[in-house]
Amino acid sequence: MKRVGISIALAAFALGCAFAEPDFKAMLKSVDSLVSFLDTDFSAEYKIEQFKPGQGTSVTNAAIFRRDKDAKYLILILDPPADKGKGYLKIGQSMWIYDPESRRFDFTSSKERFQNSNARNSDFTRSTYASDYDIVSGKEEQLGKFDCWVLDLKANNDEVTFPRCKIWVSEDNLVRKTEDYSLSGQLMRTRAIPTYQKIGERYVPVMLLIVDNLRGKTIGGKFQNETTKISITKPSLSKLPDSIYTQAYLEKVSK
Amino acid sequence: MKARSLLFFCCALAALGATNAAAEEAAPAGGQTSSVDSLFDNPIGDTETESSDAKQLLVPFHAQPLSVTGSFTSYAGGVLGVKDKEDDEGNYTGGYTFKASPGMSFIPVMTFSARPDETIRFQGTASFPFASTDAFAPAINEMFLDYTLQDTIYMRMGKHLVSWGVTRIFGAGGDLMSSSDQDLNMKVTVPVRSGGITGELLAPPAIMDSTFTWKKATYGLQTDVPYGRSELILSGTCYGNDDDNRPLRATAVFKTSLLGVDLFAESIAASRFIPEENLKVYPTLTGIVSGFYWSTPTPPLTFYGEYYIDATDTSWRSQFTSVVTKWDRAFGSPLNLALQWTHAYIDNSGIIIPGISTAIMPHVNLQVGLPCRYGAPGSYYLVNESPSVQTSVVKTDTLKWYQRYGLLLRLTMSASF
Repeated sequence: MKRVGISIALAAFALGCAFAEPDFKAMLKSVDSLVSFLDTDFSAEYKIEQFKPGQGTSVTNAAIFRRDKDAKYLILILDPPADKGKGYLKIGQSMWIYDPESRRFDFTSSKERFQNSNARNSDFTRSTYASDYDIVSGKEEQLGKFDCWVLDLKANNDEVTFPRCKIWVSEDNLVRKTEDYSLSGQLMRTRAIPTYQKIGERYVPVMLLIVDNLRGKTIGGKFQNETTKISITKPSLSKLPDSIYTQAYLEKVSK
Repeated sequence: MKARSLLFFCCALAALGATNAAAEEAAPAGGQTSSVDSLFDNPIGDTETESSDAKQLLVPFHAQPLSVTGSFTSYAGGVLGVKDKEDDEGNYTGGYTFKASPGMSFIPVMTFSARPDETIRFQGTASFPFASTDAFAPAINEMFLDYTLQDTIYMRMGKHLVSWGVTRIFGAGGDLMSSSDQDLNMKVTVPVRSGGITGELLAPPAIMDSTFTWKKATYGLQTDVPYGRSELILSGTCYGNDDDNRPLRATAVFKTSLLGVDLFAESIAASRFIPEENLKVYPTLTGIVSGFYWSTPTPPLTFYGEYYIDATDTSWRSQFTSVVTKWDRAFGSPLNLALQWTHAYIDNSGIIIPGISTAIMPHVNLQVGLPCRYGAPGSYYLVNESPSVQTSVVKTDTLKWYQRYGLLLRLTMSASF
């Protein structure tokens, strides 16, 4: 009788453990750390394909250099030729866009669209879910072949691009899908990252698809959303010179 | 009243744009969520990759063989309007007359660039303008060499354009290096944290002449201090002169970004020399410009405006406003609409220029403008030009404001190769 009681208690404990919610804050910290590069620089080539219904697809290639520990990045446009040498420089909260034609540095914001695509400038910085968002709720959900936790997040400051978002985190603590919302609850865009590439101990998307849930056009009676596909190649963890993250460098390398 | 009407027009234009955009963009609930989810049904598994050489990404910017590119722009068009009758000495003789100013030009531009390695670059641009009003005068627009010392000091030597001002409409003297395209320059920039310090030396082309003295050279210093989303830029210039009365100018610029709108304020101070008293007045405030710039990619709308106070008028009544709005591909059509309204508060005169441009053939663009001036006879903008569009017509005291309109027509053909 005593053994039966112990067995029931152990089974109940195991069942409780199985259904207990994980520590979501710790999960977000892990999510951030897996895709942030705080102990090294990160650089890669990004191919950005912007599809606009009725207008076709435009392609932009860019080289991106990040130093996450100092909140810096530099984006240099490689293609199309008309935009080659155009650049974005972010240092802390300051962000500039450099136009080689006018030789002017103008302020821009992390919240702005990148090259008129559905990507925002903030999509190229480090992940800061744990510090910028509070967790409203979490639930388990199947996303294709991935077992995911879906976390409903609310921003705790107004610096972030989207005040509310929902993220699908797979068992390996990688974000597979996000939905970004306005303050009023309007779905603004959906992002999907089906595959990552591991470099060192960190992860970088192989491909990121962004669907603009507000923009699009009805073609042949069917509404088509604007989409942006970002493919990331040539990832590198090499240390880069400090001078790369300066206005003088951007002016030097522009055409 | 006219000002209110124009403001209403601008707002209406913006609202119309927003409405049109909304009509284009309204997405059904759900959008493409289901198609996004299908990406996860059978994705390629996560992969492992080796770190590549980051410097390879910089190769297109660090090492580049000699490349030559070019472009040409050809203009043809003219201005048609009315103007007060004047004698040879410019005195009003009564009545008005129609004036037409046709013109055309063809301007090929060649640019070469080479980057032997990451420390050095050569670049030059030359233009060969053929214009109906001027003699053929080929010119070297830029010819410079960039040299980077130890990745910390950036130097640019030769003839190159330097722009230190932030204004788009009223120059107002904030660009202390506006004569840079006439001189041989040397620029040295040292990045300091997120900002930097830049020194400029502008020497006149007669630097090799035996009469040259360093008093003829212009010296400038600029420091750039970003803080958060704001930036403070302080600059000062001592201009070259034959004697000791060398003009001094200084500017202070504050820039920031608020809700996606760029805001700026620029104040300009300058020294003055009073020859009769042999007195030099050290920099005193001569102008203040503040402005905004906002653009949105969809719909492709741009708004910018500036408010300028000419502080050399000690009564502080010389104040001006100019607002520009542009709407590319308006209503989804191939037409680009634009409107500039410039107003002088000193006598309530102004110029309104609505315009349309569109591509009529590959590489060919047609621009049409309808400048109109208002104000009392002899008022500021019945005498002076708009700060960014030279109309030269409809300068008349004879006609009522609603009759002072002209027509600008311009065909532009351009291509790059």
